[in-house]
Amino acid sequence: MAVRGALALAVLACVTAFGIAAPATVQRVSGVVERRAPGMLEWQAVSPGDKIDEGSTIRTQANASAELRTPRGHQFQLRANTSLELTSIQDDETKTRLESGRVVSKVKHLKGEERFLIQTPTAVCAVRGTEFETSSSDHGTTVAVYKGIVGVSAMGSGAEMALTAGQMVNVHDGTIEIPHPIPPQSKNAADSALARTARHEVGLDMTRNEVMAAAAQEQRLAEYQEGKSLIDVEGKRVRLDEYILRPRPDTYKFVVLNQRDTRFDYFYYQGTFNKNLPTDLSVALRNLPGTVGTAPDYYLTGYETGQSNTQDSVHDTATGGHLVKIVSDGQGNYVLSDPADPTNTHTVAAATLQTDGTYKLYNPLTDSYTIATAAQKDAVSKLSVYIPENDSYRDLAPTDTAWRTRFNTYTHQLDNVTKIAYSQSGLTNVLATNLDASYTYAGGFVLPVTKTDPLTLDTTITNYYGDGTFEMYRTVFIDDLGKIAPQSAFEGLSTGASFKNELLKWNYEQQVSASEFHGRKIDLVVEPKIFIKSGLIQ
Amino acid sequence: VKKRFHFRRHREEGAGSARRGDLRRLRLPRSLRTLAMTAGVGLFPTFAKAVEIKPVVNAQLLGGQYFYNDANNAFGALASLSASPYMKFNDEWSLVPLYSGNYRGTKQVTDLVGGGTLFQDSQDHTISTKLVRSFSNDWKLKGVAGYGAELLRETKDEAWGKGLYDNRKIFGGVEAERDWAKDQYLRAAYDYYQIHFPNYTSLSSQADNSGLGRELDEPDALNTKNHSMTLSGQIALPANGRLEPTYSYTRRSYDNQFLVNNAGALVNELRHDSIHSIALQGTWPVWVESERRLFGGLTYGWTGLFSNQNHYDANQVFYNANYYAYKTNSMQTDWTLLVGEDPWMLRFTANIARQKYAGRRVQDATGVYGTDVTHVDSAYVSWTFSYPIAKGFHVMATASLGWDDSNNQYNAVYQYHYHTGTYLLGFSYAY
Repeated sequence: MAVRGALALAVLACVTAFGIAAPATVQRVSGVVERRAPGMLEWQAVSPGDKIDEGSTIRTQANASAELRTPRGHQFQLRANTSLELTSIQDDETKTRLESGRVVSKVKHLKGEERFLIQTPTAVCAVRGTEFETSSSDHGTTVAVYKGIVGVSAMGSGAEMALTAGQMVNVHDGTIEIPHPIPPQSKNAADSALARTARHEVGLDMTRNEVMAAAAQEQRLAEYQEGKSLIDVEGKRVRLDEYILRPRPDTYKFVVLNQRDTRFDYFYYQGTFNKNLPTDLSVALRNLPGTVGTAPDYYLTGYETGQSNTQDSVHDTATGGHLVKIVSDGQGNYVLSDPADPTNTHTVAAATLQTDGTYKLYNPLTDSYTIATAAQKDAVSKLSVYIPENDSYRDLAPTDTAWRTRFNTYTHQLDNVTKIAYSQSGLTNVLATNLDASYTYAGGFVLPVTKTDPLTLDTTITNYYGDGTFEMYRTVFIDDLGKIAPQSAFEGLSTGASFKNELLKWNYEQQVSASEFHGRKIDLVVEPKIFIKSGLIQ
Repeated sequence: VKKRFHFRRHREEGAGSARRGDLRRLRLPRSLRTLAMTAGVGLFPTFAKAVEIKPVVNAQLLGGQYFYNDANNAFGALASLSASPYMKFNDEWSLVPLYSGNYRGTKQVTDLVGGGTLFQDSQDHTISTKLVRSFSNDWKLKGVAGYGAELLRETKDEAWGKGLYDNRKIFGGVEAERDWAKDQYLRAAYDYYQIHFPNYTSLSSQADNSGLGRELDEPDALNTKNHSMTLSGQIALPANGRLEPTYSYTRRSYDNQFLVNNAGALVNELRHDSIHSIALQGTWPVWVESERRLFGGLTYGWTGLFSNQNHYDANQVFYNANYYAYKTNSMQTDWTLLVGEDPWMLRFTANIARQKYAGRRVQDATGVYGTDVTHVDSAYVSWTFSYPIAKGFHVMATASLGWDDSNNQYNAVYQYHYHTGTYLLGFSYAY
């Protein structure tokens, strides 16, 4: 690095009156502090109260500091590794020379022509009632002003720069840099231009790194907000993707994909409608669960669902879809009719008292029966219907006319082995499967057994078949952390509109195992709406 | 930057909370200079004769605990290190090699929280080299290149290097800076960077074997290419204050992500985002004495993201145009008190931000879409105390509280409403 310029002394404001020399007093000492009297070679230890004569030099060692006070009341605070010569201690002039280190000067209000000067090898600081800090090193001199004004000039230059409170400046190689504010956490000593440049460049690079890290985090955030990454009930990450396909103009397929560290599971639901679908699928799909009031424009003529772990599968198909009109006759019965064939009608009792005192309750919306005690009867009899206008569920009123889709054939298979199937038993459309269809079961019968956790929404339904096989569905409702919903979240709700509306606030995880799977299972996490709409959740 | 996405500048005096301290000027013997040249700056052997090296080191090691909606997480640690042997060959040429790395064993309130993992463990490492050419008229031209990797273990079943959102960054750029006085400069920069997610493959592209895949579905849907331009500077303000204005523009291309249309199908057009960001940071000395200094700062930030991508919620069968675009406004105040010759420091920071999406519709608790657009409000406060114990070493304590709220009530897949807290204790080192 080139070294410019000669050093020179510039002087400042001051004085005239002729003063009398008097020693400075040591106010405070910490660590090793020594002084050297004028003309002497040896250094002597300094203690509080000692007098330091004009012309003496005082120095501090590493981790040491000292404080001096002149008879005029000016104070010098010497930092570690500092050497300061008291060149002049007069009433009208206080002049020191800072060879190296750092000194904070607290200057009393100067009288008349009084002068206060600090000289370093590279600069001169002239003071007018102030508090300031001077540091000197191989790299130059740094001056920081805390109160008042300090005039700073470079050695060899006549020009003086007035530095005001809050400013600092660097002097080196015969030049004075432009003053700048005292920064937070500034350490003046040895704060060379090269050091500042190094920190500046590193700071810029760190900022660039932060910007790129933020870009990556933003992409991760979008994945989370779209529900593409969840935690399953076992605390493992499960990736989720849901989208639709349109294989034919009258058909749509809803696809759910799950991926974990070592497995890939999927679910799909493909529905074929009575006519071509509009661009806005929601127009047709809001009819999917059926309607209340007027008949739906769109209804299914067939569907197919599949769940798989890429090795095992659960496969359901239905064909011959048609509408069924459902009304209450006001006498405890539901009247089911076929709008395409007015002669095809059934009247089904809503509740039938059985010999054991329980009730057999018919749900015309799902075409299923439930056994309930007398105490449970009213609650279980509540039927929820989907209201597309506000995309929620409400209980079916006795005066409502409901429309539902029934199918004439249905097949349920595990690994391509048929476990349950039915088909229409006559020529007319199926209105109620127990009246109009013939069922077949693997081994002749199926026995469902339900096991429910008393504290959480964790339910396992096992179907035992007459051929000795079984299939088991464990369903849990979890939050985004994989925590299972407590029963208390549902406040005793187990059926009806309130139950389904609460279910929609949770994620749905279903684990399927079966004899055919040989210990493997299908494990799917989805948002539950499609399961509710398609009737997989009753 | 959490989901608020505003960037904290690393100012030369204050990156991290500890004072950097003195930098040592090193004069290497001829043999070491030759070795350094051979190893790192072989392209500039003539500079070796006068190379000066200024090490810049910052390190932190903190341990503490994280709270999420009053549920406490296990104790964890944070560690960070940045180190640069800044090399000055002569008045014209210098080189800035830099390593920066972080390990996070516990969350902080400004981290991504709503994604919902109480278990988080991550590390990132970046290396870069910047060549600086200085001119006598106060101009500097710079060229930079680097590589970074971020590894995440967000769930119990993820191992180092196997995190779904692990990412790699490769970057390069050029920069012009005019530095006419200490702490006063203007700079213009262009950066190009690519972000790759090596463990991420879109699920639908994997579903082809099952017959469920979609045409136009590419595996690397998250990878991006970014062109970024930045104008920034630092200028003096009245009352010894200083202002740091920054404007940046980024054009982000997703070369493997096709747009989704209102029928829920992908169309043959790629996603592009544009991000504009403005930050104005003012700092003033409020009270300055030799051993007691108080500085106050005020920062305003604005970010606007514009995207041509839409969103189709298949579960709700709902098409949401302009789903990703948003504007964020933020305000932050910082107060730093330094006391003593080798000062202890107390810093207080408070930040509020609102991110308002242009077209993202709100959802109720069951997921049903409403008519309002989504906004997310966030706030945090933090206190940091550091005390010097040896040259360059400080003990540190920091505590932070954060809140997030939104008019979006659907929390099944992402938490829009939560509060968090963190306390950390440890050490920092600066050289």
